[in-house]
Amino acid sequence: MALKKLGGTRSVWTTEWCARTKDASPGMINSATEYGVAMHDVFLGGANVFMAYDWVYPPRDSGEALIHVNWGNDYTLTKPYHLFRQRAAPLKPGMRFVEIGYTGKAPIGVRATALLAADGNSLVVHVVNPQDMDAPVAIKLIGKFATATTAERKRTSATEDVMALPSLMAEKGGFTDTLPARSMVTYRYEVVAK
Amino acid sequence: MIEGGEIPSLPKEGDAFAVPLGSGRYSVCRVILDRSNETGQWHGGAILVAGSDWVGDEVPLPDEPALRSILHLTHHSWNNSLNIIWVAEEPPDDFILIGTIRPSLEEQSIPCDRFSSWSTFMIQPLVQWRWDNKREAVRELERDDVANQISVQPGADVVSGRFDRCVGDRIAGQIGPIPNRHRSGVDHARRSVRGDCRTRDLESTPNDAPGLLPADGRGHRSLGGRHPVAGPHRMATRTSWSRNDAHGDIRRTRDRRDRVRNRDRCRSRTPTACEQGSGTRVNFDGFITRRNIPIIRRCPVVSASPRNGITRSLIVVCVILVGTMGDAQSQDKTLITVQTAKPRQVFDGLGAGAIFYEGHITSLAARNKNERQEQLYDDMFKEIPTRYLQLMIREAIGGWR
Repeated sequence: MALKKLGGTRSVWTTEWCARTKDASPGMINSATEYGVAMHDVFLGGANVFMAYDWVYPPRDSGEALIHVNWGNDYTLTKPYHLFRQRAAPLKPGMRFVEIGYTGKAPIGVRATALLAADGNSLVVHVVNPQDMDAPVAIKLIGKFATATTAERKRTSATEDVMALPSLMAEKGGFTDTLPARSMVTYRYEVVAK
Repeated sequence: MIEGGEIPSLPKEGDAFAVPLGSGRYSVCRVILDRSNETGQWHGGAILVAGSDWVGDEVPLPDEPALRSILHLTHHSWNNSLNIIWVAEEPPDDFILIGTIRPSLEEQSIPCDRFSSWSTFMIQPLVQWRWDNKREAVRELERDDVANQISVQPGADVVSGRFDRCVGDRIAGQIGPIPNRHRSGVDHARRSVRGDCRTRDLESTPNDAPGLLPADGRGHRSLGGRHPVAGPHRMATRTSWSRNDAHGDIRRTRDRRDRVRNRDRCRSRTPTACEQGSGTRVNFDGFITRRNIPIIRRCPVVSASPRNGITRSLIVVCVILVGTMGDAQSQDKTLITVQTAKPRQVFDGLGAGAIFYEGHITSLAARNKNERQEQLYDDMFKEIPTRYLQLMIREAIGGWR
């Protein structure tokens, strides 16, 4: 935030964040959700760009690299890779972050980041659950998306890699869902045509 | 509490205060983010303040490293939240400015959507300490909290059910009926909207509690959830109003009668009418002492202005209530509100950083695994729409192949 203030109108890039602790979780899902939290935090702090540090690296027991290349033999995609892929897929430069508010267990529970398309007609909400327990959430959209009736969903968890889930239907003006422990769900909303 | 359109003079980023907890003990809070000059945003006009898990018996110097550690709240359903809140009012007169503790960027990035008052930094260390050391007593009190009457009795962790009546009933009216099992949350919320709930009303005699602080008198984190007081450091149980007080029943009856009378008076008068009452004291060991201490209080008029402290406090109350509604609702949903009419910064894209580390990225082709190499390139660049690529080239040191 302070850097953003100093930077003024300059674009602020985060270039070298990575998980460094040893991670024996399935596919390194723990590192993946930490990655998601880090991305949330830097964007909340005002960053405009996030660079995945250690994109490709030799195999290791900590979670900093997204792709592990065993020299000349083969490579492996880690959970941090899939989370990054899920996060990147619906985004386009020129989108705008929008304000998020929490009531309940957050902010130390789930972390949400929302981006509005440049034309204002679609909205993407990433919600990360870095906890070791399921997290029920209700998402309420205020403004022109308040009448949205469905949300496309994709999820990365210990057992899923950017898996497309059945669309979520609005109930009582909001969308309720339960994030499995250590997971990230991406919701995509479209403006309802009048 | 700041009245009407008066603009409070808020501390600046880094300002650190010794917070009096009573009996010569202090904790510390400090400003980690200043948005007081911003307008139009939810946090505009406010500062983000963090409460330390440090407690000592002297006003500390700002360069004490232990002051930086933020108290984790684990009592009730705070779920290990950090003791951080937005504040939009001036600190109380009895907070002591001790200097500057520069916040880190990490601290400034801690998400927080709770507004409250400075009294939080006097109350939370005490409530957390009781939770860590007297949990059964807290539970017992909550079970016995019949008919929403917070009795003055040993073992209570509430400051008072009486002096918050004016504001509390008003708030309760705003948010609807509250089950008895959630009353502790209500009282916590009430305390949060009361700027006059000072720890000067908290009392414990240092001689009565020789073990709470180390013999050298230097600060420690005995109140923090991660550093419970144990063994020889556990505080002795002594109060100036004990359960053996022969007049206790009479006093309790009188107090209850006074509460009803005072509440009715508050309801029948204008919002600024209730000014004076007796005080309640809470010791670290959890006993409550009732004394005739003049306390000036007000029942503020609730306005619709978003910059009004009371309005914010009401919002805070709702947040706190959800956060403290007991373990039975620990599976409550987290409500995420997305406000598309409040845009923030532009997203300029994602990128990837790769080290050409002994040619590992191209090593599959080097072993004639061309198809697999192409798959790797696709996974790197086709599957993820990155806009930037950062290359780091470094000299090979030894071989890892």
